[in-house]
Amino acid sequence: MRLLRGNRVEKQDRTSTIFESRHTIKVCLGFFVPRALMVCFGGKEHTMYGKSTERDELRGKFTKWMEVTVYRARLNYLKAQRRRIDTIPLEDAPIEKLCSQEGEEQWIQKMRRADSLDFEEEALAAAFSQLPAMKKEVLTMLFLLDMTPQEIAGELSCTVQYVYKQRSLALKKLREALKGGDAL
Amino acid sequence: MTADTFRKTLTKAIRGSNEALADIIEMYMPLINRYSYVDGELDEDLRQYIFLHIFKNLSKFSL
Repeated sequence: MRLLRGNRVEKQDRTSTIFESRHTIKVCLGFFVPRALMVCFGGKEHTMYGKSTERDELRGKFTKWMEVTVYRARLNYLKAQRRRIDTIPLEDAPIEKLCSQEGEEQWIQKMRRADSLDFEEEALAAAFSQLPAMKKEVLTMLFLLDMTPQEIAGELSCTVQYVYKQRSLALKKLREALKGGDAL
Repeated sequence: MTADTFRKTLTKAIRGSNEALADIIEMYMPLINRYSYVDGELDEDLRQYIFLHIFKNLSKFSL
C-alpha cells in the first residue's frame, strides 16, 4: 500500500512539473516574443492593417488618471446626495401641511422632545444649536433616542465609521465651544 | 492629436491655460458623459461636479 501510494505521489509530481514547465514556456513566449518583435520593428506597434502607431505612454497614463478621477468624483457626488437632507423654501411648502392639525401636533411633540434634552447650561444649548444638521441628528439619535451606531448608520444610509466620526467631531466642537472639557 | 501635441496641450492645461483645458476636456467628454449618468438619465449637476473635480485636481497630475 505504501509503495502504491508512493508511486501515485510520484506520478502526480511528474504531471504537475510537466504542466508547470509548459505554463512557464507559455508565459515566456507571451512575454519575450512581442517585445523581441517590438525591438525588431523599432519600438513601434504594428496593427493588423499594416499601419504603425507610436506608443503614447503619457496619454495612457493620463487616461488612467482621468478614469480614476472621474470615478472618485462620481462616488463623492453620490455619497453627498445620499447624505443631503431634503429641504424646500418656506414659500414652496404646501399650505395644508403648514396649517394642518397633525402638523401642529407634530411640531409640539418636536418642541417637547427638544425640551427634554435638559441642558445643564445655556451655553451647551447654544453650542448644540450651532452644530451642523447632520452632527445634531447623530448626537440626538445617539444620546436622546439611545440608538446604536449601527442603527443610525442604517437610518442615515452611511457607514458606522462615519457615525463615530460625526460623533467625535460634534463632541469636539461642543467642548471647544464650552472652552474646556469640564462640561462634558 | 499626436503624442507631442498632446504633451504640449496637457502641459499648458496643467499650467492654467483655459483653451488647453477645454481641448483636454473635449477629448475626454465621452468618458465624462459615461460617468454622468444616474439611473439611466444624464445628471447635469453630476457632470458639473466632475468638471470641477478635474479642474481642482489637474495640477496634481505629474507629467
